[in-house]
Amino acid sequence: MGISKLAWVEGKKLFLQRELYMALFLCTVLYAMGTNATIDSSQAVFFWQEMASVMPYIGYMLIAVTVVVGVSRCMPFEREKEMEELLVTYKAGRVQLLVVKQFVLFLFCVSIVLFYYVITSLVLLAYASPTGLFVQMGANTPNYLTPNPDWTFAKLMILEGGYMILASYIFALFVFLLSLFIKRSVFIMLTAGSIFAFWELYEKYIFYYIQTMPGIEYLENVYRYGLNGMLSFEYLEGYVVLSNTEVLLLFLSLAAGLFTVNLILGRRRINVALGS
Amino acid sequence: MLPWEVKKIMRNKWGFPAVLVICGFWSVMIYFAAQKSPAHVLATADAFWHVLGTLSIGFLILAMTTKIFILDKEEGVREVILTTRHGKSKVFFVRLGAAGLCVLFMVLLFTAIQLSGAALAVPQESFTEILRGCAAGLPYVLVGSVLFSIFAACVCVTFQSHTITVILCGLLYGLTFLLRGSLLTDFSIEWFLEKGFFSYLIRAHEVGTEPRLPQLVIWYMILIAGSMFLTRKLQRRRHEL
Amino acid sequence: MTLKLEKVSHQYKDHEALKSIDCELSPGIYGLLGPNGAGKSTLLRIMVDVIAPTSGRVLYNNRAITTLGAAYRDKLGYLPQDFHGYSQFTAEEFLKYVANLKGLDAKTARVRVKHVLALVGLTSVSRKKLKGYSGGMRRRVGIAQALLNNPKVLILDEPTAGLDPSERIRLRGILSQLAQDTIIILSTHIVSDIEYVADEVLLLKEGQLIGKASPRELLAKLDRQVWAVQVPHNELQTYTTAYPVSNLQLQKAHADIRIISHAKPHISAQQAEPRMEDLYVYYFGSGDTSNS
Repeated sequence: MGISKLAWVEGKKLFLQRELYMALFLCTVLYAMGTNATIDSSQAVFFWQEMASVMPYIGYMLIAVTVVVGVSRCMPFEREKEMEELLVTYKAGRVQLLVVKQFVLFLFCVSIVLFYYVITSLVLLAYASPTGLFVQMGANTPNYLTPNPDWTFAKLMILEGGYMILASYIFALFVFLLSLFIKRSVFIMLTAGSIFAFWELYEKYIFYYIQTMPGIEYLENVYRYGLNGMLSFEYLEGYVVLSNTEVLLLFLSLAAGLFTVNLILGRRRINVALGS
Repeated sequence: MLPWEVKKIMRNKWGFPAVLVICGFWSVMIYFAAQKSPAHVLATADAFWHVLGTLSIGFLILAMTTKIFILDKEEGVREVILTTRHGKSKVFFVRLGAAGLCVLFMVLLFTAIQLSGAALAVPQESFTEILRGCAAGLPYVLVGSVLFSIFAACVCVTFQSHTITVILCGLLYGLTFLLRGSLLTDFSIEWFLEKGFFSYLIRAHEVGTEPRLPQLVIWYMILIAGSMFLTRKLQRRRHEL
Repeated sequence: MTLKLEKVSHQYKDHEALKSIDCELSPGIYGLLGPNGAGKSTLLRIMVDVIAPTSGRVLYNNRAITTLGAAYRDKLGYLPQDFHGYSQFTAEEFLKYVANLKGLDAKTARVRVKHVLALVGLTSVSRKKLKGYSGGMRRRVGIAQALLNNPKVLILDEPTAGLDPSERIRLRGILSQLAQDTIIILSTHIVSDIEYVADEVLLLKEGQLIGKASPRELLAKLDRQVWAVQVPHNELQTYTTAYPVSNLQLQKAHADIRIISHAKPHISAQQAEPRMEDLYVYYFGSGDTSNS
């Protein structure tokens, strides 16, 4: 079987999980409600300004949930069907399969991010028309981001979309890494979900209680520069001294690094999987 | 039969590490609150169920107690259980009882952790205040936790999948932390999503002053009765009763 | 004591798994034989009341098992095809748990658990968690749990899968002892197990019961029809397409084949003693079983 055929089959396995659609349905309802709530209809609504604001506000959380659900079963699928031992005896059952799986994860992230943007635009169409994409932002810069006001909305959307795809892919690769060590998909889901949820709660609740703690700035940095910070656009909010291009290059390097680590560890996954 | 089901829940390897992690967090939070003032300790102790307790109990219910409702299928003994004398519906109810009992134990354990942490850091008179606040919220926490464990069990039996249960119940349970402020209009979808899926009860501090409490009680009764009815109907259709 | 199947049929969406099965069973060992997809497991699951038949009914002592409910399950021992056991439990704990579900009191449970563990040869590892057990050992735990309540109806779906020869012999011994006052139904692909132990064989093909007789009676039907032939390699194809072949062994200069045929297939063919494997091939074919 060629790489493309293998990718097609892996994609099918990933996209045909009924659990994914269940999560997607709930997240979509929540996302639409959240998007709707951010709009103050008593004032003039700028379509692209709102479009760029929703993702750092609530979108990234729901993307994270969808990624966790989708990726959690990517590796344990064979394990749970008692196929893994057989699979690693196949010619393309180790490295090639891992490469394909991780490539398919990228396509998965692209689709999920695009899906949420489509949902945002459908909700926003009820309030404003999608004009002004190539107009400079000026005073209408979106919330949660600090872009150059001279930019057009088109440029900002490309940056935001690209950023979100890369950030969610890094998160997906992290969940994939966890799945090399945890046997059952449901516990991968619980672990990855807890890690993400913990740092979100840290930022929103726990920080309030421990802000006087010595060394709290280190924890803040872990949040800001960690997976949650990446997903919640902290890197584009001006806290980070890197330029946009540097941020994207950093993300690309991180993705490549995680990709390689997963390959090295996953190649001998029978030995590293817990309980084997 | 009940002790065996309790044993099955307690054998879950996620229980002990989760309790350890929670103890660790709580100690850190109480320690830094104590560095500031007794008032801070009071506020922190009072907020135990607000985030940490609610999330911990939710995690343990989904990872531990719900697991026994799918274990038969996962471990290939479903048909063995169905062909034993006490199989079928009795087993389901005994398991619900075991889950409820374990949840009760977990809530009491967390309360003990909450109080012992606070007891070390505040003077006697403040501790009495913490104790009073804790006692006022405890019934809501207990009811919410037990009801959530029943709901999660029903979802698990209905879908015959632990993964789907975690997604569905986890998202519905976690909505309280996401839906706030401007979203809420009484009896809107958002209102039900925020208050109607157990975590609002377990967070305790708001439900005590909830103006729509009678309606909320009716909603929970309908939700539990509906999910139980649906579960038993599906079991009957699958010839499990 | 009888177990009676009355016009039992079962439909899975567009596939008819069982077609009006009639049969009466009394104490003894019955071997259920049929190719994959013949409906064996479906039939067994209906007999243990795990699935309801689309039509027809199963009677235990002339009373429908669905009506008997717990009273029937009290007398039932069942080993499903796909059995693992709780991996976090030891064999002893698991058996005690099942004994509890089977309604045995604590004292009886202790005695029975000890007894069945000895019976299947797992006493020395009874305190080891099931997750450390091999496939064959887990299967033996499955057999042990089926025997816990001293069943009057014992239904075993592929009990010998994964067992080594000595364990298979041990199981045959256990079943023979129980057969005096127990209806034992055994489904397996290892036809020699049925040959050695079964009093009667039930032949199931495409959801229909095509035969019920003792192995001796069935084998008698093949008398003078089994042939051992030595054929040159270039003629092998001709024989394998023309006759049902129950064995084939390639030698350097020729091939030894075992053929089922009414007439003498070759001048040099020697008559052979019929075996259960020949019987299987005779009824179900040696290749594509669905069309045989």
